[in-house]
Amino acid sequence: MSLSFVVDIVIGGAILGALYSLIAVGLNLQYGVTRILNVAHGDFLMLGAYITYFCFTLFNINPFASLVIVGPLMFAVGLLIYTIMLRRMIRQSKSPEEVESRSLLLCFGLSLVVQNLAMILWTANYRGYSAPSLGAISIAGVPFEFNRILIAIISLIINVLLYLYLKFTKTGLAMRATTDNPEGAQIVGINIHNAYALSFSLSIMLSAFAGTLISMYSTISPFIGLPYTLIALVLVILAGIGSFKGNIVGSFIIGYLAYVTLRVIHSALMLVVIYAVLIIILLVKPRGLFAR
Amino acid sequence: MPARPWKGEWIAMCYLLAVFAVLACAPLFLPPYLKALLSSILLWIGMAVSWHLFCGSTKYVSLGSAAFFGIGVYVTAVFQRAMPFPLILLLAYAISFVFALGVGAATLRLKGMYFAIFTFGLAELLNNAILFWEMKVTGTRGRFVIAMDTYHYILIITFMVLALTIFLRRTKLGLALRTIGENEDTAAHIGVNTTFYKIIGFALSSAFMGLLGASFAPRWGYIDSGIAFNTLYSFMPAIMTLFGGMETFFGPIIGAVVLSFLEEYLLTAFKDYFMMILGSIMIIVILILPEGITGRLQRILGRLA
Repeated sequence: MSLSFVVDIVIGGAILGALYSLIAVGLNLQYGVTRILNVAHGDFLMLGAYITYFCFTLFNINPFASLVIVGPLMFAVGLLIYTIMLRRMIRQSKSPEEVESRSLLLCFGLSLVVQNLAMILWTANYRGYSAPSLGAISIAGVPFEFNRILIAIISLIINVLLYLYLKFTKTGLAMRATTDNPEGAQIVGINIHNAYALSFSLSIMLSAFAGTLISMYSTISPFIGLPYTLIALVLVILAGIGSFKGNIVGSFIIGYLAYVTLRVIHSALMLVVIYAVLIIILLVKPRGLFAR
Repeated sequence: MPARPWKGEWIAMCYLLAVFAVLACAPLFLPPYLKALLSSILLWIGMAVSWHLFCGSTKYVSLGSAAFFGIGVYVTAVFQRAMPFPLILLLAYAISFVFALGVGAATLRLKGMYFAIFTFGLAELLNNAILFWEMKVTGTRGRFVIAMDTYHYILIITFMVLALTIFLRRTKLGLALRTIGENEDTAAHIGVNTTFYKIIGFALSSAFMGLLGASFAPRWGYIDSGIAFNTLYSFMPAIMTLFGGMETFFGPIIGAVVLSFLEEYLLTAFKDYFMMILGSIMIIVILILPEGITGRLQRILGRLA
């Protein structure tokens, strides 16, 4: 095993892990607060990627700068979807279990709608663009684009910002309280429906951010969402609800496993690896690595 | 043993056999197009009722029907030249059953979202794994299937599922599954081995999906993993059951019939919009018609009476 191979694995896996943490952190927050099993999570990632693609190809906006456009836009989309569909569904449901099973089916339908709407609008073809390069550095003979390193750094910064937001603001506290105990939260005067709406919209926005970053180095199509949805769902189980530490650690574990599979065997086996991880968690620690 | 004799069930079986006899003779009088349509409808009824068998009573939502359907399709494609068709069906049943036992053993010991998440990507997992296998090991892409008329096989399998549903209600297994759906903690508390019954129920329901896949495969001349593990086969059973109504015997049947016709119409008239419209129907049904057509009808009739 050569040095360049090791360097490639170490850094490449870390970049993937950082990106995965961004994909999963929103879903973790959202599932904890609302109990909505959003199996359309990855499809919003796809939408974020398309917005960035069009910003770049039509208006020549730098992909990193397009985060500023993707953010508010997808937050609004999330809020709209929550207000039209999910609020009604949550109010009709009698228990958290009912919310889970009904939201699962509803989001499955939503996923089909989003994917196929994207296909009708933008065709099923793969698209890509070459993002403006910031140059590359060579570590032990392996070239790494600064862009990809920046992608990892931005992912981690967003994680930290979200952590600080939840820890030190009033709305953040309201969301954490709703995660722990919805009835208790209501008794102390928290409007849990606002917390639901906010966490769902945030989750959609964060997923779309990840899409922006992914579009910079990978081709996109309307159907790229599913593997990312699955990674995010598995990471929520692996991390345990509400655990930032678990999310980061879990993301790096899956990031490294996925990257090694990609490099050594073939990308078609990535899902096999993720399922293997899922089975191991279910057998050993079903409540997550850092469950409280 | 049940407290009263199985009188109601046998009467229901008589009706079922009458319908079976009519449908078994129907191909003699039908043009090929209608016969093909009828076998599609029967397939969807079989899939929806199988889905309802486990998911309807336990309220555990499976999004992985396509995985088992696809296993059946592949069993036919691989072994069609090696053994007679009934033996292939038996094999498809056995493999799907064992695979479902494994999936169930991994996920159904636990409550909550684990089962749903696990089944959600299952079809895609098998799709990728087979793609990899064909790419690296056999160096092929897809397989040819010898076309043959399997209308009567599909008919028999679908009616087996229906008969099973009728009789299962009052067996220990059916009762256990419904109790789990009502309240799993209570079920465990009164001594029902919930994990065991959930796994068996899931395997039984999934094995029929494999069987249906195996019997439907000869309709296509050529299959690949994308055709066999199409999301449609995961989605349709769930939406058909919800649309028709979760709580009744006729719910999944009515849902399957209505949506099969809709599928046929949409695929010819608006091919590109087909999946999007199905997705929208799912959303609308959950929001506006949560008890399904039959549930809504029951309520309206109940109010009139």
